[in-house]
Amino acid sequence: MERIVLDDILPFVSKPGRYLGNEWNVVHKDWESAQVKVVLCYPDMYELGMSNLGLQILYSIINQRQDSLAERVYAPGLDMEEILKEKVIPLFSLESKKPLKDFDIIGFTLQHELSYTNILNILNLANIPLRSQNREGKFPLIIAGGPSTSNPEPLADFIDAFVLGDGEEVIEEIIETYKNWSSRLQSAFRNRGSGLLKALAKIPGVYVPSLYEVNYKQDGTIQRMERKGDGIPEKIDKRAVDLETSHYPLAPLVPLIDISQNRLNLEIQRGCPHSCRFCQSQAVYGPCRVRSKKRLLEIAEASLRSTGYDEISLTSLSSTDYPGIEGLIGEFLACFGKNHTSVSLPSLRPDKFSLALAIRIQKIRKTGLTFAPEAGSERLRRLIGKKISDEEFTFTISQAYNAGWRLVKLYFMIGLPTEEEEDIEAIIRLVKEPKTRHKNLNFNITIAPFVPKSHTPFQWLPMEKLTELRRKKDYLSRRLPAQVKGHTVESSFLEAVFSRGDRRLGMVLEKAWEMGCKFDQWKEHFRFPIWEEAFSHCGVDPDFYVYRKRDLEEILPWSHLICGRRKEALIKDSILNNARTSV
Amino acid sequence: MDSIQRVRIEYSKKGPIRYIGHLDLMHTFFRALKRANLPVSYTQGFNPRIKCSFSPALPLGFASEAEYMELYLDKKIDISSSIGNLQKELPEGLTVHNMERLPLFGKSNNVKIKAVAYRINLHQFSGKSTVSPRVSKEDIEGKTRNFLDKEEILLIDKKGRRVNVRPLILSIEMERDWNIRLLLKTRGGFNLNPRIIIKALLGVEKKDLAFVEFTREKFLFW
Repeated sequence: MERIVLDDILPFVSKPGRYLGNEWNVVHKDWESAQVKVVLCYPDMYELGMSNLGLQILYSIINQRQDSLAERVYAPGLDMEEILKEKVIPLFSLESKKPLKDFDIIGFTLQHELSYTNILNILNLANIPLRSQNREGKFPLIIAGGPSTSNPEPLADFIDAFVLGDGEEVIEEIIETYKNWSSRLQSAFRNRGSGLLKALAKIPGVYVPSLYEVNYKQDGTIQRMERKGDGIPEKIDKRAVDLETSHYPLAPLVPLIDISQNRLNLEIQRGCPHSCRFCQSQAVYGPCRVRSKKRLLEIAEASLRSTGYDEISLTSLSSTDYPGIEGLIGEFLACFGKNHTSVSLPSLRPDKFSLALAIRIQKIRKTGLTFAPEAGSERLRRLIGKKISDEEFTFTISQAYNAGWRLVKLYFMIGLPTEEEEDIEAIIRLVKEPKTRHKNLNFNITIAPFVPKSHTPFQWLPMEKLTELRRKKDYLSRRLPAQVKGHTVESSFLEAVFSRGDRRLGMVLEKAWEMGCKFDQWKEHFRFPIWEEAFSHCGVDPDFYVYRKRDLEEILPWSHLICGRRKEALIKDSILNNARTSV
Repeated sequence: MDSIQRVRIEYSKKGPIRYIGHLDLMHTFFRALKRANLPVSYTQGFNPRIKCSFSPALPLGFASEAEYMELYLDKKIDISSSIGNLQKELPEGLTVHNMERLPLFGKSNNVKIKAVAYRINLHQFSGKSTVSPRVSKEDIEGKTRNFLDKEEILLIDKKGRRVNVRPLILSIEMERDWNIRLLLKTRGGFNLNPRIIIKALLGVEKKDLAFVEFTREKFLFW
C-alpha cells in the first residue's frame, strides 16, 4: 500500500512532508501482533498537530505496551482531500498507511471548538459513519479527549466516549477494557454494542454520552439528564495524574518539516496557581502540579540526546509561577547552554520578575517576548483575576526595551463582563504610554473577544453582542499605534455557541459540514454565512447559547461533568450578583 | 572557539525523504549532527548557527546521489567512526557515502561547480501519464535530436524572464530502461531546474511529469 499511496499522491500535494510518517523517533510496530491498534488524531493541520504535547505523551504510552500500537493522522490539506476523493483512497494513518477503519480505536483530541467540522470530515474521509448509532458492526471505537471535553455535548452524537482530564492513566484503562471485551467477542462484531460502552462508562473520567438521555423544557433549557440503565455514574469526575511519576516521552517525535512549535516542549507544571475568572484552562488542566527540578533535568537530558533539538521550551499555563523557576532556568542554562541549546518561556505575565527571567534566557538566543495583560484597565484586570498594575506593566515594558527588545507581543480581550468605554480607552493608553518614551518600540497586538466558558465563574454570563465587539475591535485597530491581529469576531461567536452548547447542536454541525464548512479556525476557510444558514435550516437559534444569561438554578449541558471547582465555589467566585460593584 | 578542521560529507537522498525540501533537510542534518555529538563549530553572534554549507538546493521530489555538506569542527574527529555515528542518526533515505578532510581555509566547493548531471527516468511516464498518449523511445529520441538542433531555446524562468537555455544544455542522451541523461551547465551560480528542460523537450505540462523520476547524479567541478 505504501508505495502506491505515496507515489500516486505526493507529487500533487503541497507540503508532501506532512504525509510521510518518517519523523525521527517514529514508531513502526508490527501490525499483526498488536491486539489493540489505536490511531491518534489531531483534527487540524499537521504543523499544529505535531506541536501538541498531549498526543506525543499518549503515542509514547501506547507504543510502550506490548499488546498495542499507536499511529497518527492529521487533517489532510484541501489538496490532499481532493486527491483522496478522486482516487477513492480512504484516509490512512501516517505510520503503516492503513485505512483508519482498520484500527480498533480512533482517539481525537479536542483542542478547540472550531475543529469540530474537521472531525466529521475526517470520519467521512475514512468511510466511517458520522453518528455513533450508525456505526453498528465493524467500525472502530471513537473516543475523544482534550480541553474541549469540558463541554463535549455538541459532539455527543458522533463520539462514543469522552475522556475528562489527564489522559496518561485512563488511556491504558480504556485499552485494557477494550482488550478484555474484544477477546470475548467474535471478530465480526469485535467492538460495538452497548456492552463495551457500559464497561467503558465504569472507568473514572470516561463519559459515554449515549448512556444518558437529555430532556428539554419548553423554553429550551434542560429539564433533566437521565441515565439509561444501572451502574452508570450520575456525575463524571475528570482525571488528574501525579505529574512527577506520570509517563513522559523521552524520545518524542521530531518532524522533518517545519511546524509551529519546532522545539523540545518540556511541561514543567500542569494547571495554574492563579484562578483568573475567565480562564477555562485552569479548570481543565488543574489542580496545579509541578515536576521536580531533578525529574525535569533527567527528561531534558534524555530528550535532547534523542531529538537533537537546540531549543527547550519550559511550558505550562504560567511558567514563571513554577516554584523556584529562577533556579530551574539557571540550572538548564548551566547544563545545556554550553551545547548551544537555548531555553524559552511561553507567554509571560507582564511583571518585573518574569521579565528578569526573560532577560536571563535571552543571553543564549534572542527569543520573542509575549505578554498577556488581557484587559486595559487595572479595575478590569482585577475583576478577571489578572492582578497587574498599570505601573508595573509600564515599568516592565520599559525594562524590556532597555534590555534590547524592540517588538513585544500583547494579548487583550474585549467584551469582558462590566467592560465600559473607559476600559477600551485604557488599552489604548496602556499601549501608547511606553511608545511615547521609546520611539523604536513596536507592539504586535492580538485582540480576542471574551468567550464565556464552561466550568468558570463566568459560565452563566452572556457574551457581548457581535455588533459591539466589532465596533470595539475596529475602534482599537484604528486607534492603537500597532499592528492589530486576531480572529474574526464571528469565529468567536461560533466558539461561544459550541463551548456552552448542548446536543441539539449536533445536527447544526453536521449540516454545516455538509454545506462545506471545515478548518473553521482558519480565517481563509471560515464561512460564517454558511453557518448562519445551517442554524436556520436546523431551526436552532445560536443566540440562545451566546447571549442568554443563565439562571444559577439552570441545569447546564455540562452539569454532570465535574471539572475543577464545583458549582458552589464558582458561584462564590462569580460576579453575577454584584456585576457593577468593585471586586 | 576557532574551527580547526573542515570536512566534506557526501550523501545520497532517496525514497520518501526526497519530499523534504532543502531548508527542512538542513535542519534535519543539524539535529542529526547534534545527536551524533560531533564537535561542530558555531557562528558567532546573537543567533549562533552550525558553521557549514550545503550543496545547491535540490528541487522537492528529486532524488540525489551527489549531495554534500562542508562542515567546520572545533575538534579533530576520526573520520571512519564519525561516518557511522552520523549515519545512525540520519532518517531513512539519507545515506552517508564518504567523509573527507578539506583544507580549513579555502572556498566552498559550491563556487567551483561547473555542471550538474541528472538522470531522468521516464518509465512511469511512458505508461502512467493520464494526459499525454503513450510515447515510444523513438519519439523521444526524435524529439531530443530536434531539440539539440535548435540554436535557441527560450524558456520562462521563475522570475518571468525569457532565457535562452540552449547554451546551458551540454548533452541529452537517451539510454536503456527509459533513462535520459542530462548534463546542464551552471552559469554564475545559477542552476537550471531540469524539470523545465524535460517539460520543453517532451512538450508536456508540469503535471504530466508527476511520475517522472529525477535523480541528481553528479556535480562536475573543473
